[in-house]
Amino acid sequence: MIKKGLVLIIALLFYVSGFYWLSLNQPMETFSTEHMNARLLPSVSFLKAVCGEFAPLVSDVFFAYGAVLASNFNHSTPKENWGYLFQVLKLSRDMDPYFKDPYRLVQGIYPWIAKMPDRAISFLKKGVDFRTWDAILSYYIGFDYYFFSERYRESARYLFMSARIDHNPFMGTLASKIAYRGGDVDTGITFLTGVLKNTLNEKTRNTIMMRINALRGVKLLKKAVTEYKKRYGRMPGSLEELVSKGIIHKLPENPYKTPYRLEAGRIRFD
Amino acid sequence: MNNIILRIAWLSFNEGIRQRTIYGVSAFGLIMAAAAYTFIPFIGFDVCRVVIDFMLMAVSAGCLMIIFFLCLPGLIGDIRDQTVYFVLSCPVSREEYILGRFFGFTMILFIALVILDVPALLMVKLYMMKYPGYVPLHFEWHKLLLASFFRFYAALVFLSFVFLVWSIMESGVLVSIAAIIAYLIGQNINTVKNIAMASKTMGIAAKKLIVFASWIFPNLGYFNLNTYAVYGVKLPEYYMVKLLVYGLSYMSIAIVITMFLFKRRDL
Repeated sequence: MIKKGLVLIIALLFYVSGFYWLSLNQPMETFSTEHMNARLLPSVSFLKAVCGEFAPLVSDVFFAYGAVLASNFNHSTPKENWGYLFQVLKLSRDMDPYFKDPYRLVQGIYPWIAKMPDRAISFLKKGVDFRTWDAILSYYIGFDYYFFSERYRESARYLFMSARIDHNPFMGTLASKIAYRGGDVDTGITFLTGVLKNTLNEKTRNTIMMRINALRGVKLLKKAVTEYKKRYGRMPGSLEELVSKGIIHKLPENPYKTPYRLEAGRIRFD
Repeated sequence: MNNIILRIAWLSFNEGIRQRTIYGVSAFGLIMAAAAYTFIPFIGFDVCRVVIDFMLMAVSAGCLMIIFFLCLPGLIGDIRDQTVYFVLSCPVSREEYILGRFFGFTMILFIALVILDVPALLMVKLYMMKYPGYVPLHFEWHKLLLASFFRFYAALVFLSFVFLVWSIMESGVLVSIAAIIAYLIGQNINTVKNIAMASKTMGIAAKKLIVFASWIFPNLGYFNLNTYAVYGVKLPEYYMVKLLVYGLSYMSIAIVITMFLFKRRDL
């Protein structure tokens, strides 16, 4: 009995000291961002085949892994590592395309830190197809197109989408401004007319109406400028020339109280 | 229902109780709830969605564990230990044995569902109170309960397939392997079928084989209503009714074939 007790005590002492020694010598876990090979990651179809109904949980795990990696990345992180992280987050997204967090993380880092807005846009587009009730994803895409790529038509398209989901007239007005900047006046008018029908607030209605009228003026003037070019083979020097040459009777009134003007071939109203 | 079937069902249910299934399931539910409470805040922002998925996963995992660690060994053990003779002694027929066993396991699975749903619902409620800003936009409690119920229903459909495999194969190991493979196939057969049908490079024979397999294996992926429970994604019209009919007819066919094969089996 005493012998057994002695053996037990010695074994316990070894266990405690061994465990303590091991924990002291455990190297600190650091994330090496070198040698990240995206090809080593499993494919989505393989994961889906293996995980079945547990796919959302696997999506969470990949997201958590991606978030930890992202916290170690900065402006000087090599391109390949950004590619690796992108694949990790893509796995998270594809295992559960409804999960919002991967989209949020990608938008938070890829355009800003990785300087890869196109990657963010392509990533977010899948979310728009699935999270049909979520206005923020199309807003992100619209913002990225506008701010990083200066592609105004595409930006306006997604901002209109966002405004439609959210029933947000202000977003609609913003989108129409960007559409106008991208030279797409018709889309702006059509969209704002739709927004106007569903807007009850008088003040908001007036704001939208003003924008529609201004765009209608632009549309009329654009048509007149095209006609002028067809007749005289050049751009008019000013909008007043359209009146003096008899293409239109008078210049439309700009609801923003500044006259319409022609600047670098574009009609400006604000 | 026949009195003998009920008695065998009760016997199977009691067997589960004797094996401390309720304690095991309760402990599993509590461990999952504790894990959800501890780890989920570290995973992401969308915590309410994660907790719902996590707890639904716990229901599925709990049901699967009962099938693999209680039902399957019970059935295999009946033949191996020849305890089946005690049950099958006159006047109990083999059909009554199969039906009784199936209903008994159904009762255990149902109890497990109820036990697992309690911590699941509490945990979801807790997270929703703690993070009200992250409650999914179209979340409704009845949708969560329905999703949970259909996970149990899927487990029953799978159980009926396990019965069928057990009636064909003699070896316990083979039955277990076949059950695992059938589960994996059942989860993905519908997706594979859709991919195959859309593929232009896949041969007609392979496509036909996949379609054939989709008729044989239980299409368990149909019963996954996660996106409905979490995001309120609209289901096709009468989807749940169709699911109930599909599941019930599949179970009936599987159990009838099992009874037919078991009757001819040399014990």
